[in-house]
This record gives sequence, structure tokens and C-alpha cells, in this order.
Amino acid sequence: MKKILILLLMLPVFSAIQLPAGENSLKLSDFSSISYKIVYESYRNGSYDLHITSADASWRRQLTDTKDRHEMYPKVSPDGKLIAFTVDSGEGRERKRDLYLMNIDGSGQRLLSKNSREHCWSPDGRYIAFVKSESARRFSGESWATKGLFIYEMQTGNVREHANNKLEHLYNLCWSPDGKYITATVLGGMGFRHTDIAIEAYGTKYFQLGIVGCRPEFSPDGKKIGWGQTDRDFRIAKIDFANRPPVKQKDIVTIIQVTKGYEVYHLDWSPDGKYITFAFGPDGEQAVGGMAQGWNICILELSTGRWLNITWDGNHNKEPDWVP
Amino acid sequence: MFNKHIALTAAVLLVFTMCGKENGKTVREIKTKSGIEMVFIPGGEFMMGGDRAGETPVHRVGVGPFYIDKYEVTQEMYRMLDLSNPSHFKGEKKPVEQVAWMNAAIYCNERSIEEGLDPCYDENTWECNYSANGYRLPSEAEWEYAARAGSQGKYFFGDLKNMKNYAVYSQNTPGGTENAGSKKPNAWGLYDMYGNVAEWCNDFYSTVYYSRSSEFNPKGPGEGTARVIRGGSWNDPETVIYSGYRGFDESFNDTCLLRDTIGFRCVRRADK
Repeated sequence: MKKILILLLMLPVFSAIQLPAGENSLKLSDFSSISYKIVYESYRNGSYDLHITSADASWRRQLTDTKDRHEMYPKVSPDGKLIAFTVDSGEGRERKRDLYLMNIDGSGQRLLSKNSREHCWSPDGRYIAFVKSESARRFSGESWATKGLFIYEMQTGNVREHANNKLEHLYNLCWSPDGKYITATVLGGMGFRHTDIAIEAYGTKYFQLGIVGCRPEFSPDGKKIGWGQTDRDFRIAKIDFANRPPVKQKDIVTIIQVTKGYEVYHLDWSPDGKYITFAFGPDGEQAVGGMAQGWNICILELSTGRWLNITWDGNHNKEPDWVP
Repeated sequence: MFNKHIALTAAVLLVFTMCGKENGKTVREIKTKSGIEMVFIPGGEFMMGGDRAGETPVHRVGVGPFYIDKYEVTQEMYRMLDLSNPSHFKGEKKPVEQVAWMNAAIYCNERSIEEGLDPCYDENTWECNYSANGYRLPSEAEWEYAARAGSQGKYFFGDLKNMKNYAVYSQNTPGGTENAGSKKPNAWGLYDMYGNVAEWCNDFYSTVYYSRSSEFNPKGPGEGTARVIRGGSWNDPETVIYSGYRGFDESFNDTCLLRDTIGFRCVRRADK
């Protein structure tokens, strides 16, 4: 039997409970009041495609259906009308990863930028930040194998490089709700070994967040941040950019911890901040394009710590993103 | 006549520059098409292992001839192939580190392709084709044979007090890698076999493998969860830096597990 141990912190009470997998009383119908849908990637019949589901799993639809390419890493625009996503085509060292945009119903696909990935939306929906693949010689699926930070302007279609052109090896970009910072994980870049940083969206400076792990994601009000410290846990902390570092060690709490042999990744806060969605499954490859047999999409209710998976097929279901 | 004499002298000098008989073996340096310096290691036998758990039993092993990089793979060598450099301690002459085993294998394949050789690694299964003429990671036996360079003691340089002259390790570095080749080489002209970065081998790690390994060109267990690393690093104490020490690491391809203490060097088949 799968063993998942959830340690819940009921912010700001700082009390914790433990729940074994499958033994909580949550039912899918408990999520029926959630009005937000979730977009995610899933691998079937030899390729990744994007899917959309209601939170209670009562409604589901496949958004893309291509055999010769992989649609992945969906990020929904703040108005809920568009999805920015990556498309992998080709195989092996000839593989390419490009950034695309489409309507929320899967129609109107269009290329935004070649050799681009790890994107996020600005909170006003006017821009998409992304990084480019580093090597022109051959494809690398490594999340960190990127160069630079670029901004796509939705209105004009223009792309400009960030004011700091020394940025490298960034992944999992996330724009702060106040629009001032873009957070990212960095590996082997700018003198860092492996850490998480905030970059001024309209300046050149960057600084460490004060957390250990990867893939930080802001809560919708921008007052908290969640991330994975290891393959097997999620942590949450208050974040205040008036401080350096903006996260204090005393504020960090573990909200999910799974036993060895299983992993949790790709945390995303619901638009109302009451839930997180994430991917959970046996040891697998979390990076975009990686295979993760047995992984499913889950929802955790932050106020109670109750959680439930909303997919069951285990078809490498990853990278869930709420539709506002 | 005069020109012929000069040419003959130059040829002799070239031979002496490139060849040397060390510890009973004739080693020879070459430069690859990419300009990378390698050392030809003639085949032979040696006593492999040590007296610590996992290093026993000490057993006789034979290896065939092979070429091995004179230095650990540097960041300059990565740049030459336009590959993403994950290193923490940046520097063209410094060894590349934070390299997952899989990415070390990819480097080997790309270097093979660059020089028109047959890649050794199947990038779907990561199995190594030892009969291919391209680059690969050394087997654990090849690594130890090359590190010992004909020596039979714990250290290739003799007494422990000489460690500081041959290895970048925790007692002589402020914290981080140093340029490849900053210390003295072993008897076969190989630099940084001890310290600087620990080096990936091709073999899976097993504590019991020595008791059942083949006597000639052993290639490690058929499967496992960790790969062998050898030689110790800048961050290691002298207690784990010697020819027979066996390390292992599980960062096959996981970004979260990458270490700035692990790099590698390549080997290539030699038929004579």
C-alpha cells in the first residue's frame, strides 16, 4: 500500500497533524465546490499531451492530441483564457523544445519562441518570461541547461532579454504577484551551486531566497511561498521582500512528506490560496519530458491537510496548473 | 646531410618526449583530433582492492590496453563541444563538476561524434558498448590500474606525507576545485588521479562484486542503483584518498542530487 505521510501546518496556528494515505475521509465530491479547473500533462500512446479537468474529476477533456510531438509544462494566463506550454519535437540529440501559446480550449496554437522553456506569466498577463536552451549543439532535457532570461510581450509579440544578460542555468520561473520579482531555481550559474533566487523583474539584481530545495511557487497573495526541499516533501514559508533573505528559517514548515520510494513535485497554489495541486507517484523523473510512471495529480486542502488524487491512471501525470 | 642529421635528431627527441618507460610499462602520450591529451596505458595485471569493507578480497585483475585522459575533463573541454556546463566552481581550466553520470556519458558520446568515432553509449538504455572505438568512462578496474601506475602500495606516491604534492584535497584547498594538473602526476603522467574531483566510473557499485568479478577486464555488476566514483575530491580527507578506495553515488540523472565534488575523465579503446 502506498505510504504517504502528510504533515500539515495550519498557518498561522503552527500545529501539525499526520495522515496516512488512503485513510482520510476526503471524497472527490468534497472538491465539487471548487470552481477552478486544472491543466496538466499526461503521457499516453507514445507522447505527452495536455489535459484539463475539474477539481472533483467529474469533467475531463484532452486539449492536445499529437503523436509526433510532446505538449508539456502548461501555464495558464492570469485571465484564464490562454495556455503557454512547451512543445518537444524530434528525438534524442536532435530533440527541440519550443514555447507555444493556445486558447484554453486547445484551439489556436501558435509558436512564441524557439528553443525556449521554463516559462511563467506576469501577474497582469502582459508578459511571459522564459529561458532559452543553452546548447546549440544538442538538446538537453536537464531543467538547468538554459541560458539567459527573456520576456515576451503579448501585445506586440516582441521578445527582449532581461536587463541582466549574465543570468544562466535558471529553471522553474515564477513571477511574484506584485510584479516586482521573478523567482527561479539556479544550478551551476552566477557562482551558485544550487539555490533559489529572486531576480528583479525590471532591474539587474538578484538575491537568494533563503530556502534549500527547488521550484518555488508564490501563493496568490504573494505572502507565502511553497517549494520542494527534496524529492519527497513540500515546504511553505512566509516571504517578505523587505528582508534579505526574504524567507526566514523560523517560518519554514513542512506540509507534505512522503516515504522513500515516492516523490512529490510541481506544487501550484489555487487562485483562492485554499488548495495546492501537485504530482505524486513512485520514484520517477520530474523534469519536463521525463518519464514518471505511476504519477497522478493530487489536491491538498490547506486548512485541513486532507488530500486526494484526482487522476488514477498513473500515466506520467505532472505539472498541474490551476485555471484562474 | 646536415638537414638530414637535424631531422633525425628531432625525430629521436620527439619519441623521447612522447614515450617513457615507467614502472616497467611503456606509456605514450597522444593528442586527439580535438587536441585533448591522453596517455596510452599498456595492458597488464595488478592486485585490485584494499583492506577496508567493500575493497576485499584483494584480487588479481588483468586489463587490456587503453587510452585515458591525462587530465580530468575540464570546463574548457565542455565549452569546446558547446555543452551546458553545470559546474559550481567556474574556470576554463578547472574540472567540470556537478555532472550526473548520464551527462558524463553524453559528453563521451559527443566527443566521439566530434572526432568521427563510434559513440559507446546507447542513450536509451545507457549500456556501454565496449567494442566501439569512441570515448567512455573507465571501468573501475581500468581506473585503479591507471591510478596505481605500477605501484603496489596504498598510495602511488609512496608515503602519506607526500599527499599534498599529488592531490587537491581538504587539507590543502580553501574550498573548491583547482585547475586540472595543479599537482604532480603519477608515474604514468596522469594528473589528479587523487583529489580535485572524484571521478565517475562506468561500473555499477556493489560491495560484493570483488568476490565474483571476472579476472580480465571486469566491467562491474549488470545492474545497480549507484555508480562507482574513484579518487576522492577537494572536499575529502586523506582517509578516503588512495588507489583502492571505492566510492559510489546515486546521482545518475537527478538534478537535486548533483555534487560539486564529482567529475570524470574519459578512456578509449586501444588495440595495441
